Amino acid sequence: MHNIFIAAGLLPAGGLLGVFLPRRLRPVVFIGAVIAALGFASSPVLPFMVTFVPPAPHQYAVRWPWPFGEIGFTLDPLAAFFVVLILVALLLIVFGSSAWNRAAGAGSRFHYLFIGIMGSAMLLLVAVENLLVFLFFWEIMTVAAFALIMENSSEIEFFPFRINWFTAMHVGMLFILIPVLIIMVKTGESTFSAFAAMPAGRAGVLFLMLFVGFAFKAEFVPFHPWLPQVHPALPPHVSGLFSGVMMKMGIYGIIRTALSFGALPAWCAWVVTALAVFTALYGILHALPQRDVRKALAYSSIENMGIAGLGIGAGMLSATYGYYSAAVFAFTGALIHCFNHAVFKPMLFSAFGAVERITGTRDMERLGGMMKVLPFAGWTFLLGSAAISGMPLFSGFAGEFCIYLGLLKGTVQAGSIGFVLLNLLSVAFLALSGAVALITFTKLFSIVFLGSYRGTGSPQGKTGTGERVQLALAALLCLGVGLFPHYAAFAVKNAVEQMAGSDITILFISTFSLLKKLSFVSVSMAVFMLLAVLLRRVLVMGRTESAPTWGCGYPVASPRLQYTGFSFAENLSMLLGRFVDVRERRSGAEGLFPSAGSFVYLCFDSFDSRFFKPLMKQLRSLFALFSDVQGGRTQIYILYGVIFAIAAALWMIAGN
Amino acid sequence: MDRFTTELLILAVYLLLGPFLYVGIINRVKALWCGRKGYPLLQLLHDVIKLFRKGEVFSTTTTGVFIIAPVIAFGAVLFSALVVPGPAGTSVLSFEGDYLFFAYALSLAKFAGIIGAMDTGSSFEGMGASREASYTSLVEPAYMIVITTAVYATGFLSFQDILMVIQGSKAWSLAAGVPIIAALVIMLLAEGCRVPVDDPKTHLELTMIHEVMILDNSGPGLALINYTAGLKLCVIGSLIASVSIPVGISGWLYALLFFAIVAASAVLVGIIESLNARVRMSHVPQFVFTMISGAVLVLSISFLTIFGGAK
Repeated sequence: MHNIFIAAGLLPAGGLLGVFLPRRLRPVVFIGAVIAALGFASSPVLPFMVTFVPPAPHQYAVRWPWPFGEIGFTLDPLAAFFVVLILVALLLIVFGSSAWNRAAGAGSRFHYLFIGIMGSAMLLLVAVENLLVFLFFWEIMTVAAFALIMENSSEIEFFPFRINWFTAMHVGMLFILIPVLIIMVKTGESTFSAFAAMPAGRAGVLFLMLFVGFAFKAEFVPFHPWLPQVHPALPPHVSGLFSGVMMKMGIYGIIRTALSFGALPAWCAWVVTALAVFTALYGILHALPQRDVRKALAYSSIENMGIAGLGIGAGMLSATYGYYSAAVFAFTGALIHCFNHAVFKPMLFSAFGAVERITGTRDMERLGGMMKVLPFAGWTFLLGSAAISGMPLFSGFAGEFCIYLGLLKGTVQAGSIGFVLLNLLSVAFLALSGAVALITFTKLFSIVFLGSYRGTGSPQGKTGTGERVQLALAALLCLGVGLFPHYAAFAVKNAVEQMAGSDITILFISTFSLLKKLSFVSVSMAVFMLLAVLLRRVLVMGRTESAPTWGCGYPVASPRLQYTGFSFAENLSMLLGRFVDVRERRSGAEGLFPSAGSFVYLCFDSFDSRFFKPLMKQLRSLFALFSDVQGGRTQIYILYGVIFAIAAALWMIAGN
Repeated sequence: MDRFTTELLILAVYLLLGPFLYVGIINRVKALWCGRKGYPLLQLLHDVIKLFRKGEVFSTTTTGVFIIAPVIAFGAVLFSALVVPGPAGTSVLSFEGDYLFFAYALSLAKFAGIIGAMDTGSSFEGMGASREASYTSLVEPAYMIVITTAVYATGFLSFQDILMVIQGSKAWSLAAGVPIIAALVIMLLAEGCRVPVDDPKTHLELTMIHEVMILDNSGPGLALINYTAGLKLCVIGSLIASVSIPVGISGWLYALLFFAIVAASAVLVGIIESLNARVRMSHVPQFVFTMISGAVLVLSISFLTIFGGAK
């Protein structure tokens, strides 16, 4: 357990050292710190991942000054899982940051210190037992993230979005703080174990508040619109850090609270499941029409959090009814999906970051043909796209497969029509969001990397060495989890057991053997495809010719005539687009002798533009009524004081 | 030769020749319907052999993606065929949730097809890719609803077991079998890119869906794509056959009946293509979503049996 503190100390230390070192050395030192942290953390953490019977949770108490007192830290299987997720994802992300770091004017000298502080806060918050200290680390994480956001302040138009995000995070914090204070006052305890003492009816309401609070961080719809607007101006690896790791802390919070409450009323699980399904669909439908690739990836993160949340909700629901065989699959799927997303989302951000660096744009309608310029980034982006769309052979499928099976197993055992219908609709919407994800990511990949370049000139550049390391490692992890899902399930078994709250050994054996069969099928499919690709190369060897793409008789095709991302997504957007606020502006190109025309489209978040913006406008006009109260004149303020003093005196007299 | 080897051998022959015959039957039915003699049943096989002998032209815009895409699609569809019960009544690879693997393997094939088409940078192929992606994307959730319903109604989690139950009782084969077959036929038409979703015989690039995606493919690549398209039809045909055959039939009779029903599904596709024009593209989703109505029917019947006391 001590080693976790050493690991948590190493991260900011590595960042702090970097402050005094020249720019080029900063990522190197920090990578060293993360690797050392991984090494130190592995000795207490690994036993939870590689043993069938979990060791007893490591416990450690730290004496802190008043008002905290003795602070308990517990490293249980769930915490161990998130420690691994944080450190592995952080390592990959930091590798990817080196190319960005080399560019002139990239970030301040404190950049890696902020990352270190954030990482350290996340490591400690998954292990801490004391509620106030948990909130303390939670706040440090948010503030460090805000520092990372503000540090790159070159693009001024993103300024209000950043402030909005910071404010929203604190509204979320409020949703966590209030129930925590209520529980602490009611029970007189200050650790997570206090949750279990709450009566079931009240626990449901409190859980719901906490859930909303964590949903702000995990970006469940409708608590999501702020971060996607911030993403475009962040360095790619920071985007990866936020999407891949920070959002998972929201998921951790949801799991930890649900776990601490113990027996929750069934409607809590209903709410989580329903909101998660909605989040998945909403997220991907907003990712589809985006032209800013960063925003598309950010919205896809929302979808993925929805999928993980669906696993958790379905598992909770099945566990409430005692269908543990279903719960095991759902929880396993949720955890595997969290880990996968922490690997492939930063990978996608990084691969696109390389494109961004050499072309200077995030607008996919100005890109194209990058596969030829950056083959390494291209192929890994393709692999990541396949993984995130849940294609068999890759990691995304392993997680989604488990979640699907959890839902279906629950359906088989279900004793109520409502439960069956909920599961059925969850399956259908999960499938729909999977299908839309396929279109979104084939679109992202093919518009950015395939075809020819749509902009002017021909950008040249290379994928950086650090980026290559990140992309290659992440690609290996995507393939590894995809081809051997049973080992991934084994690694999370103890955490799943803790989540299910009952001995699942026998159930897990069947899960393991099922995933082993899936692994056999996937591996043989992969081998078959590999051989077939080789065979195909041999078959056409020496018999190939090159020619321009067939233009269907139109001889003067130009790159700007290629299908655009907008037109690629248009068919589906038209079908499902009611949810998405896409605004188009057309002009010119009309009549018999058309003048030059133009077409512009912009995507807005429908919740933001239809709900939050009007709400804020109303609130502002409401608060404007009170603006005279704070007039800024000293005399008025003295008058308030006098009025208050007189009122207080009157009240006391009346009381006597 | 033991039983298992025989079964495997029959399956191999079926997967090798079935796709050619399937397309051949569809075309023959269409030809007969409009009073032509039609070309040989195995014309596609001849075409494929011819194409395999040829060289290949790669567009200067394309990358390695274009080369591997047809192979990935082929492998994915082939493995989806292995989880579907074959002419022996059993599937080569059967595990809980194999129908999920089936659906996602077909998605992988679609994924490969889309990026292969987009790699050429041709706006026509982009258009085709966008259309195929959009219209078949609706098949997936509909299929999932059908399968979840079947899972719920039967209480089993793999193709083989689910089908066993549906085949096993007369009541189920009528109540669940018929709507499921109807749904599968729609899936066959949508995934296989046939009328009324797509028309393989259309001549204008602007009106094509699947055909326009493969404009730039030639030689062995094109051959593989054509074979894969036939294989996909065949696989969904097998699924229809497995749902339809009642329990109690096994051995050679089962295999015979199986082939007959697969052939019948091909005839059905031919008849549908002869009698119908394709629907307006904006109406395709409505057609695809009809699949769900079958599922809703089965679901209500299961609810009645399980909660309503009706037996």
